[in-house]
Amino acid sequence: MSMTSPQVPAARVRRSIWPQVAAQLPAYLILGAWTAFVIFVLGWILAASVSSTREVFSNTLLQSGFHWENYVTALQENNMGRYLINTLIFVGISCLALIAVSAPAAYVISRMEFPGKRFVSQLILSGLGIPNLMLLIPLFMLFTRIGLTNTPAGLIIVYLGTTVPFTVFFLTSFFASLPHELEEAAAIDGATPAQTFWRIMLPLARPGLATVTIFNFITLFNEYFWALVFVNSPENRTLSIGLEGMIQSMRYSGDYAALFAGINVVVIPTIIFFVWQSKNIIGGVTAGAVK
Amino acid sequence: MAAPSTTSAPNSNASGSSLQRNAARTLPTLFLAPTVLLFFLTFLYPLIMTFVLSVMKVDDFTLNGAQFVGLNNFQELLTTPLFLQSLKNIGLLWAVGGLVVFGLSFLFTSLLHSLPQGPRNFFRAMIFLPHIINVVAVVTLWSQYIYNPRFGFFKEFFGALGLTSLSNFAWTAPENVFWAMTLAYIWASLGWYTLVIMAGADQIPPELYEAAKLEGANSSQVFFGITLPLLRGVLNTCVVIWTIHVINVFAFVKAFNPVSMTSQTYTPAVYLYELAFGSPTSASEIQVGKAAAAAVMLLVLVLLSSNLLGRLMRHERVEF
Repeated sequence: MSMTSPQVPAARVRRSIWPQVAAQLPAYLILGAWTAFVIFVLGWILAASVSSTREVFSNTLLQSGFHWENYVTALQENNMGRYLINTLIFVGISCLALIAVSAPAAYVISRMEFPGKRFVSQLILSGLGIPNLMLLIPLFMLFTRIGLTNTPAGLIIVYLGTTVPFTVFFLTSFFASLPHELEEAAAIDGATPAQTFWRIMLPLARPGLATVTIFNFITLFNEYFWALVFVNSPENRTLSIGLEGMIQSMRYSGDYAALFAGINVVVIPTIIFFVWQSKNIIGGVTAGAVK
Repeated sequence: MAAPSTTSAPNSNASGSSLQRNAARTLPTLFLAPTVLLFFLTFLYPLIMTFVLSVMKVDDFTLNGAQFVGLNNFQELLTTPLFLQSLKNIGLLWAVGGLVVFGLSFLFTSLLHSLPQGPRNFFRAMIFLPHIINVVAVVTLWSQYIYNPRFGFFKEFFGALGLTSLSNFAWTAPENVFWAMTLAYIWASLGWYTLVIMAGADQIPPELYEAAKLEGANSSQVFFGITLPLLRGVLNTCVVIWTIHVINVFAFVKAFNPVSMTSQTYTPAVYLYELAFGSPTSASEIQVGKAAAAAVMLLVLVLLSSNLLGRLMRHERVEF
């Protein structure tokens, strides 16, 4: 299997399109099968979420029309509506705070010279490689002592702390890629570095801020581990924990249709986000890793 | 702490230029302070504390009656069958899952490259899509639908093909659940690795391929002679990240076994969690110190493997 470059000029000269079709056929077959599987499975869940549980079991989905009451069961009886709002609030606050904390840090690291710069940036970068499990026990002890366990504030602080290294890392390389001319012009006009940051760099960095926020949103929206540890009371739960609870209660109720509605409450927001922003998301993944 | 400059110069009567110089020193401090503080709170302090706790006997989170026990926790862990089994499980997931993930990533990359821009971007997005789905939702999708013995996708799909042995296969039976989990894990992870490897391959100058073609190289020569060596840096990153992810596998397993775990599905992360917080099924006592020791061992494993892999893959690194 070779990885031929996208456009080999020699291929374009040929008149017949058959060799090209033959060369592309395996790609369409294999990638098509993967795509069909992904779409079928997600589509099935969508259809099952508005069918009755009896139809789910006999695999005759949608025979008796739309059963929206499954969503009522998931959102109200299983509290997924509450958990959705919780998740959006926690994640929304975290994403905004992440930018407020990380953008200035990334600006300073990418654009200014000061003693200890290398050390600080290496320190922050090292946070990317430390497993969450190393942080778990002392953080829980500390938060128990200061009364932050089982509070939204505690979870948001952990979200901030654990996501800041990635955000700073991503924004540093984004700031570094911006042209220097505008800053120099601003400096000549007598702007202080702080003014340059607010008036010039931040507006210029808007695409990078958007991309990293999309990433942080998806990561934190889907987060499970910290939510399990730090918010276990029903009024503070997030979607991940709520969905896990639904699987458990479903073992007794057998209400599969409501379970599939529950999955969709969790999945649909990120899929909409992905369809809307796929270019940014895919560009961001590759920009962060191929360096 | 690397606070750049803590001396604050008097700002009264300062001329414009000294004000600017002053700002050039205080601005980094000011702008970095929140990040550094958060780093201390969520990384540095816990990291040091975990090391400290790993050599103590601690039975609860208040540290009451904690006592120094040396390397006892580590010794105990290394003779605990369940912990060793959990290490074996992630070792298997790392090796087998890794082979499949990286093999498929290369296959998908080469397939994607044979397509024109439009279909290529579409298929690339479809390969990536599972990666953005919530872990608990992915697990629910696979364990409650795809593997379902009554109406599951595999049941219906293999049934329609007449493959009765596959269609009646008990995917989530205790003896198969590990591989069922591995398959679902691969499905959810693959997109990220394909994307990154493909981006790496995109950076290889096309002239190299044209030259190889003119020289009459066949496709396997091109792959092993050009693509693979030039992708070393990217591959190195990917393998390290795969290792870190596999060592951290937690949510996937917990959600796959919502009621009780079998030793086949234990991962070190789940074992550690149950040591620290207790488990609903086994009435094992809470041993915080031992959990910290397990965390230290996992960190060492991450560091060792990424260092080792880095060294293995670094030689003959080509710049282009």
